[in-house]
Amino acid sequence: MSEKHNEQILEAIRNNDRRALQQFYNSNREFFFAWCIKNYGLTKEECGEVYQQANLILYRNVTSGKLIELSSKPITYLCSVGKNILMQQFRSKKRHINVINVPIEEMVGEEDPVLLEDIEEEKERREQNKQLVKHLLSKIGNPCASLLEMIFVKGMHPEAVASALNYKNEGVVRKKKSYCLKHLREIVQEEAKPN
Amino acid sequence: MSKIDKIKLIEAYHTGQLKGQAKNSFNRLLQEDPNFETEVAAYEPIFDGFNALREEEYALTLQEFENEYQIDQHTDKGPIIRSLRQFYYVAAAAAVLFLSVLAYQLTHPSLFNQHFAASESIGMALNAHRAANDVSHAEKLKKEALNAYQDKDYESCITYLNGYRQNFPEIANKDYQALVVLGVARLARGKAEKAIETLTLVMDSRDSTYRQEAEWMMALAHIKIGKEAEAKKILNVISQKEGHIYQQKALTVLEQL
Repeated sequence: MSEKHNEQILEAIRNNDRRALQQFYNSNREFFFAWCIKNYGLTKEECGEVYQQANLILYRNVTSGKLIELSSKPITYLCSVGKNILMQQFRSKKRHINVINVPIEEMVGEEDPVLLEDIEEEKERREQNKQLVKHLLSKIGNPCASLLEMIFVKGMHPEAVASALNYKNEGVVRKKKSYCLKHLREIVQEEAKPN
Repeated sequence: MSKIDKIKLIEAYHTGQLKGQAKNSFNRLLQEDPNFETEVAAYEPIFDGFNALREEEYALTLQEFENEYQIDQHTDKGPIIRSLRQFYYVAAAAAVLFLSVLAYQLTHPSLFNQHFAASESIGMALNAHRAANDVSHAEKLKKEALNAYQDKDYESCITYLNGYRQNFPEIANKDYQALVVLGVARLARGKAEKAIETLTLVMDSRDSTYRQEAEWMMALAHIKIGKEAEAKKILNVISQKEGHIYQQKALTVLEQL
């Protein structure tokens, strides 16, 4: 698997390229399931849960800028994330794992701290921030709410946003985006003021 | 540096796109301007919240990928040639499996998943629309939406149709094809309440072209949110209408409810 191929996958994630993402999902699924069943004795349903979580964490790490390039094959990355998810569930006793082919050192080894933090400790903070943004979007109204949602939630290209919102070109979209972000910040400041 | 330029830098920082010259400018500003540092921190929950919402969307997309993968696995299997004795065993096993599946389906609560599918009749109309050239902006938006619908990218379809309705309400609110597509796309994304809002517009209209489609989807939307009594009312109407394209399906679902 070439570096070019890895870069194409990361680009597909950054651009929310549904077709490429679906192809990526389908092409790695079989291997991931076989790996899960062979090493951890999971059922297909359990493998499905872990596979979806692993894909979601890959997506999170790329879109947040934590993962800029892949030094290994994408499937190796997914399996590594999958292993961390299982180890974390094993430690928090959420899941009993029938370890078949995993050396015991791996079971007690150190996980990637970033991944674990993402899975458990930041959940509550992210939920709060999600509710904050939902609230801000409802306060700011349209067209800012639609524009920001298209760009930051749906991951649409500015050209597509220009087309959807009837703006002259993507330059206008970029300007409006900065203006709308500034406006969001002002709402936060306004609401933080004591009455 | 203007306030807007600073916001652009902050956005690039929080979305992991800070490179080269921009990265240098960012670091220099952090050192020189304490207010800038405060601003960077203030935007963090906003970008974090956006990322959380984006992930929520992607989790739905992953579930769609899984559903489509499983459907493909069931439909892609080619013919298998076996000896006659093997055939009997297979037939007996299949009969047992069929009865088990039937029993399971009759008692399974998710009727919605059994019956919901993007309509073929809408699909045919989309092909006709695709052929149009020299389109206005309103038509272009609709075309983008219908293309996304055919590609099963329901989220983009919803986005384009919302844009269509916001920018051209006088056309879009009477465009019952667009409304029924929006309703189905919303249903496909699990937004049943929103789907009901949209489908109601089609059902209440004088134009009957898409009413049958809307009625069927409306029944499924009510099943999806657990309002079975409402669904039954609609299904009874459909099942009693001679020539309704969903008459047979409505009877099947009524038996299952």
